[in-house]
Amino acid sequence: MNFLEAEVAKYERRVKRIKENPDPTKLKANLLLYEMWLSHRKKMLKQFNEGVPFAYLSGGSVYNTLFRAMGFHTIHLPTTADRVGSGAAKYFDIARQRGYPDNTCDRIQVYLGLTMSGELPRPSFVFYYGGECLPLTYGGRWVAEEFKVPSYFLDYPEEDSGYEGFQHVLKQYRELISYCESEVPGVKFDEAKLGEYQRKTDMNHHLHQEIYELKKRVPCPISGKDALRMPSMELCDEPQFGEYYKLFRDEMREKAEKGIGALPEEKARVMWVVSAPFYADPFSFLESRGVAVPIYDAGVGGGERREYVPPDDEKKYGRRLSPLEYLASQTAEGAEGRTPGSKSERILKNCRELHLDGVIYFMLSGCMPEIGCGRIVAENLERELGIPTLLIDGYCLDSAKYNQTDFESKLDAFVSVLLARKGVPA
Amino acid sequence: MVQNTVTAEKRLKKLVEAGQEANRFNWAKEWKAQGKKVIGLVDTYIPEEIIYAAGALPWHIFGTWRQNVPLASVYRPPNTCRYCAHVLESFMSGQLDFLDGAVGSDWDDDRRVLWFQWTHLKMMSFRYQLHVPLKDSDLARIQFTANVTRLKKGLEKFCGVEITDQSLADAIGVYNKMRSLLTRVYEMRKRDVPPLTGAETLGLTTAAMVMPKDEYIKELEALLPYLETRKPVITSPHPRLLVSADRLDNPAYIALIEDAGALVAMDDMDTGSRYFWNEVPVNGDPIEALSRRYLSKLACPRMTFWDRQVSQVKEWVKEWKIDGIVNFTMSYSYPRFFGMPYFRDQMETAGIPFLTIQREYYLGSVGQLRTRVEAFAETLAEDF
Repeated sequence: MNFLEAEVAKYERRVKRIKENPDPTKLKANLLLYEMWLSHRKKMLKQFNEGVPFAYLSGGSVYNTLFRAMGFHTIHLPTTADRVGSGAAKYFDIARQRGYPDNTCDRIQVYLGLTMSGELPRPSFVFYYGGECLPLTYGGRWVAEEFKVPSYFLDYPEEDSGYEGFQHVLKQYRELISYCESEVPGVKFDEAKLGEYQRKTDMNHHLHQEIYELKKRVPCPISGKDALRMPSMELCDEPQFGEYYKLFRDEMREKAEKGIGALPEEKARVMWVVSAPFYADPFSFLESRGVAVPIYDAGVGGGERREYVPPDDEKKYGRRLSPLEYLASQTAEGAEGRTPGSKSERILKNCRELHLDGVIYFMLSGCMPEIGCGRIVAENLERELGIPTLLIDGYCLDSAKYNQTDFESKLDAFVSVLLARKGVPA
Repeated sequence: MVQNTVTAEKRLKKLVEAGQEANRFNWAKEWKAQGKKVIGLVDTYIPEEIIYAAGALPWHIFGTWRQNVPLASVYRPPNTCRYCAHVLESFMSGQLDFLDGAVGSDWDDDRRVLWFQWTHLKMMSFRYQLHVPLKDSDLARIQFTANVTRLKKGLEKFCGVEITDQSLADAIGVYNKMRSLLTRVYEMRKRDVPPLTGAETLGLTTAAMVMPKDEYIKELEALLPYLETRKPVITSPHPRLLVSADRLDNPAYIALIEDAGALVAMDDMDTGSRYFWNEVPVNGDPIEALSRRYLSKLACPRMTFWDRQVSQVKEWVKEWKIDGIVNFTMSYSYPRFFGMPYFRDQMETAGIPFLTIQREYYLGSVGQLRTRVEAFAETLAEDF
């Protein structure tokens, strides 16, 4: 069974299980999410069997919209890697045998192995960028080399470069589009389509805000596992994409109004940061100790990363931006939020507003931008709010390096600290 | 010109050892004692001529060569770039207290983080983070020029001086002079028996990174005629190796290779050839000229145009009659790790023997390193 066949089987299994035996502590919106993935993967599998090429995106979920507006089918490589679950070992082996570092971020190792396994549709184009981390950049660079297809690297502007940074990104987008149109048969940019995606995203933004507000409620209406959810923009063409967030919000609101929490007794609440071991369930363990996890910094309703500017805003640039310009402005502003200072401020804000008692900072091995900030964030939280942070090492996908007893004993000790500081009996 | 062999050797030794941990601070502290500013740099993509033109001493930051970095470990777990960990240790232990400021870069994620750590720990009164694009295109050059212009403004404000086109042109002239002198030294390495060992050459290039340029130029220029005829103690003139590495500043690494029965005749290192190769054009706008030179200079694995790095190394292999390449990857420094399979494939296709060794920043695992290098040298020696 190849990756896509396994994906289809996985989502069929999940959909069946929820329909037959729903878990009352989890959101019903999960069924819709799995149905969207099932539909999406079935289409991909068909295209794979027909030999339809895709654009490979190494980072930047939003680029699904730009490339689809050009007429590409897209695969967002890191989030694709996130879904391999217990099958990761096979892809690690492929990447490592090829000579790739085994000490870098495991998401990248898996996606490299996955692309080389022949289990994904072949690429017609590779896009990579400097907006997140260098392993994503080099991963994309290497995939382009391996498949000998046209590729483009997007340089992110310097922080605080303002209008100049915006122009830099916009010019690159125009260059990218022109390059794709000349190099890849059948590609033609449709800016109106990009605008449609942006309107959808804008609607979802408002729902995210409402979800964030609902997370302030005690007891927390959602489980930690549900807080971790973040549907990929790969699903942006699924008709129910917007519906998902509405359902998510409605369920949370209903539970909040009725005072129903995901835990029988919420003794403390924490924020989960960076990433998590996708093969394990630390949230159930925390919940068993009375600790809620209302927020994951990159999940649904993860809070504002920067000041939000809607697509129809005319104030910032004195006129309404075209969809491509709007994407460039978002990219340029996104460059502002990459510092530990801004990350720290965001986490502090979340902790204040959601009345959190602590932070669990997942020190994803190989993720240099994140692990290098862990201690800084922890010191700022202690100084500003007097709340503790657990810096816990781990891998997203490499379950062979995971020791459940060890991991949970660290969580357990942290919970004891949290409760002792609050003066709550364990 | 140096007349006497004993005097010349003495001067050469002093120059070659200027970059050693025990000596590298001396020049900066003397400079500082004159009431002038010292600005640190963390990589060779930062146009240091601008710092020179501001009247400050551009000083390349290297870390302590000690094995343990207990202070830095608080902020940098062991699975992060070792160069950055050793640099942070030097900062936190007070070794670099003389620095007035530093220009960081995003050479990789870890160096970006290093800058954040300086900020968090409130180190130095001037901290600047320069973004260096990972590609070399028209748009990237325009952007880099804008970034360099912002750096210039920041330095003007901090140093309280105006950096004029003339002062930049003068700085470029000085740096180009240094580059031309080092190019002459590297030309001599093409000889069957070069006048300097690989370890000595690394000492010479790292000296250029920490000494005031005028002083350095004076010394090297005086020594060049002597080097033309110098006969060094070389263990073996064959096999001739090229070493490829980043932030390798300890000549003991190179000496170890040479003690194992090889000659390091060329390098692809940011502390060696990549530091000084390619002069800055003297015509036109100096900031544009600097930006172009620094972004388009010899490729290193950090940049996305790996093909240019490979072409350059292949060219060197031919011109310097290289028999094999030693590729030093540094623990948790990703750019070289990611480019390595491509680099290795290309070298194999070209029939160039290639050995990769993972190293720490400090000189560690010496026995293991020596064994691997000896085995490689022996394999290559079979061809002689």
